[in-house]
Amino acid sequence: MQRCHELRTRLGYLLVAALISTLSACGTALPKPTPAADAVSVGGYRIELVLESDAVYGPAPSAAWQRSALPGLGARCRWERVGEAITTAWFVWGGRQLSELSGYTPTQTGTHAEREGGLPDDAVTDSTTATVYCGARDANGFHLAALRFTFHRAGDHTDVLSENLEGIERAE
Amino acid sequence: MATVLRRSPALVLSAAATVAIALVMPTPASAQSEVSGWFTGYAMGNRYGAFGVEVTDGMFANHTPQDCPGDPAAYWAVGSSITLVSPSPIVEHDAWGATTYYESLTVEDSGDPSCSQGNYWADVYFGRFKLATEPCDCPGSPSPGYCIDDQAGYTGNACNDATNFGRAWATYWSPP
Repeated sequence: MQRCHELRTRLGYLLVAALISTLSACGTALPKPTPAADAVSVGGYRIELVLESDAVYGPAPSAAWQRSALPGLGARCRWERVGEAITTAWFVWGGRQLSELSGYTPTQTGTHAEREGGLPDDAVTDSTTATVYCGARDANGFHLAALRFTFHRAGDHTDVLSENLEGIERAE
Repeated sequence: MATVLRRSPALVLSAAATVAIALVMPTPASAQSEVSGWFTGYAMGNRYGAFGVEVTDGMFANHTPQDCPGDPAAYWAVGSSITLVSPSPIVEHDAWGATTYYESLTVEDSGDPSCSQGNYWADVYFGRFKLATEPCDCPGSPSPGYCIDDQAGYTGNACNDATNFGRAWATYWSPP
């Protein structure tokens, strides 16, 4: 009886080893994305900027907010005022060119703003890299999160290979 | 002879109770209420919206009672206005590149017949301007639409404005 148990255990190890070996041999899968920090704190704001993989995003979607330069990939941005209260903060979003979308008056400590949608054309730098910006503009200038990522376009979706999020301060 | 009005204790108590109730529960001045829902943007499309009004900046579309009977906003009168709370204002442009700021919006169109955007959804209209060389279309709007070419060297595109706006969670006051 004890022998049978040992045999079964050894057989189990062998099967697992064989499975790992087979999967490694098939190793054509894309490398896993480098985990990026989800948020940065800059100029009195905590800014969260993350990529969203969703089939609704693409160059020809059913609604404007889903239009994206990269198929199957969008972004969600949320900022929260963590500094002192100010009169107004403007929601800023874009690629090489930034757009002011809306205002928050007054902007109290704890005031938050959120936007999700596709990626702008000018966020894509070349066939493998892109940078998208999101944040706030106030009387002290721009307070942004910059999400730089590398990607592999694969038909109707986009694989993200690596990501890096950093905070940026920019004068008016 | 002076008439002395005698008030019964019950009457005094009743009057006091009425005053107290009036103080504690003031009568609402209007039926306005603060609500929240998704805001999206659209552009280009037909010149006239679902209710025959020419669609311009500062207008929005929402659900109809026929499509989305469970959405209270679907019953708001066409032509009524909402007042933005957060965000406020929303930034738009015109064909000359002037920036306009909207703190209130008027419902003049309808959309999202599948009710996918939930109650109190508003689709904000961002205009119909574009470069002369660009097509007059925008995702979600009838194409080709009715467009206006950019003026005075402006190179903006209303569909880009709508796309950039994305989808945002908004809080606002319903129409009175």
